Amino acid sequence: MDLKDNGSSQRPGDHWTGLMARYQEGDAAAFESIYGEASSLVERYLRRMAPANVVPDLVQETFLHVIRARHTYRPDSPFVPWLLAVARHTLLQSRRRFARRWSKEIGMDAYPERAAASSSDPLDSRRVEEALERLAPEQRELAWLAWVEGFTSPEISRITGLSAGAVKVRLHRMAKRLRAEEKE
Amino acid sequence: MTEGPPGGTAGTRKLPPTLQDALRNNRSPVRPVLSPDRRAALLGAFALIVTAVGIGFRGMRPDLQELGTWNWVETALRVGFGLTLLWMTMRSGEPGAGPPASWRRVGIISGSLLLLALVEWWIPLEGHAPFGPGSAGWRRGLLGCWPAETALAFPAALASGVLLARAYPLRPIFSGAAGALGASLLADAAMHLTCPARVWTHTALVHGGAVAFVTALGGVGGWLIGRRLRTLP
Repeated sequence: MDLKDNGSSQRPGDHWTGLMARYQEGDAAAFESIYGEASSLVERYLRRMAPANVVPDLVQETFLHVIRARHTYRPDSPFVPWLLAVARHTLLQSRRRFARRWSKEIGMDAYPERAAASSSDPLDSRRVEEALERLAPEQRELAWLAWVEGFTSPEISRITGLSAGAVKVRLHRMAKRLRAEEKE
Repeated sequence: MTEGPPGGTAGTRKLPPTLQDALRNNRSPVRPVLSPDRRAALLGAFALIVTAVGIGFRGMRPDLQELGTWNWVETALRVGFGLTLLWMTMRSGEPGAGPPASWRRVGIISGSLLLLALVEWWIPLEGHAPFGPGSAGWRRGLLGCWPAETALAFPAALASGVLLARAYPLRPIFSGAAGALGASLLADAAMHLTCPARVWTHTALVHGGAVAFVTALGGVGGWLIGRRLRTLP
């Protein structure tokens, strides 16, 4: 099971940066394109850490924040980490409001859907999925961002608010632990 | 890494009604705000100018020479910590650019310890009766130093709040309080160089009280910013 931080700079939706810049200039259709294309990414991200039944509302709330905060996005920085940082904040706000209800609903059974295959080897992607399901929610978030979606440590740092060093250390420890568990 | 067309495999999705309404109310062009570092630089420069004006207006304390190096160390700590807080506040106004959680925790703990140390509680009360509790000097200090420090902190605290309101802080109360605390520490640095009192009760209650008051106002300002953000169309 390959769990390296691949450091790839190619990201699905790099053209969203240009679309967001156009929306800032007043092109509403550009935002509709961003929503149409990026909402599934936000949904996949939120499904990792929230009960399935609240995810659609969280996706909608995330894009509401994107509309209201559009002036804080700077076109010289990548769009996806900014978007997922907004999604994360939306998630944390909701979690704080509904902590008690969530603690009953969140569990391994709350995530019936699996992410799209992250590699051409179905056995490898199944192993990654199984590994993710064994992790605590915060660890699952980091692992999903790094090993499924392929974000770099600086990007994950921007999304989660952890320092880049802390991200690297946690990913390294997780990978080491998961490899050790696989050998047993 | 997930490959395939941008946005994954879900294809295009239509905007739900809530987002359609929000988009209708938010389609005017906007100018992106300056980067957090640039805003912090401008705010920091403004705060330092206000501090220098305050020192010039009040005049240096007469016992500056006998206070020695430690006095300048204390001043530098106040200025350094104040500017750092202003920088972290500006970063917190941009989603994804806020300081890491570990920095916030270290900042709160070290800031609290720093403020405790700067009270100079080890200086004995005896021999400093003019500013001791209940004395005429105490009342003069309360009516003089407290409003002076508050007035000195206010411009930079207000500027911090305005810049924050223009951005999109995800923790507005914390950000508002942090910016106000940063401005207060710079004002406190000016007061430290100009107020002759060396009684810890005066430092803690009058000057510390002014810092706490402005910080609390900043938190209230942050709460108002958060309320406004939640009710935006």
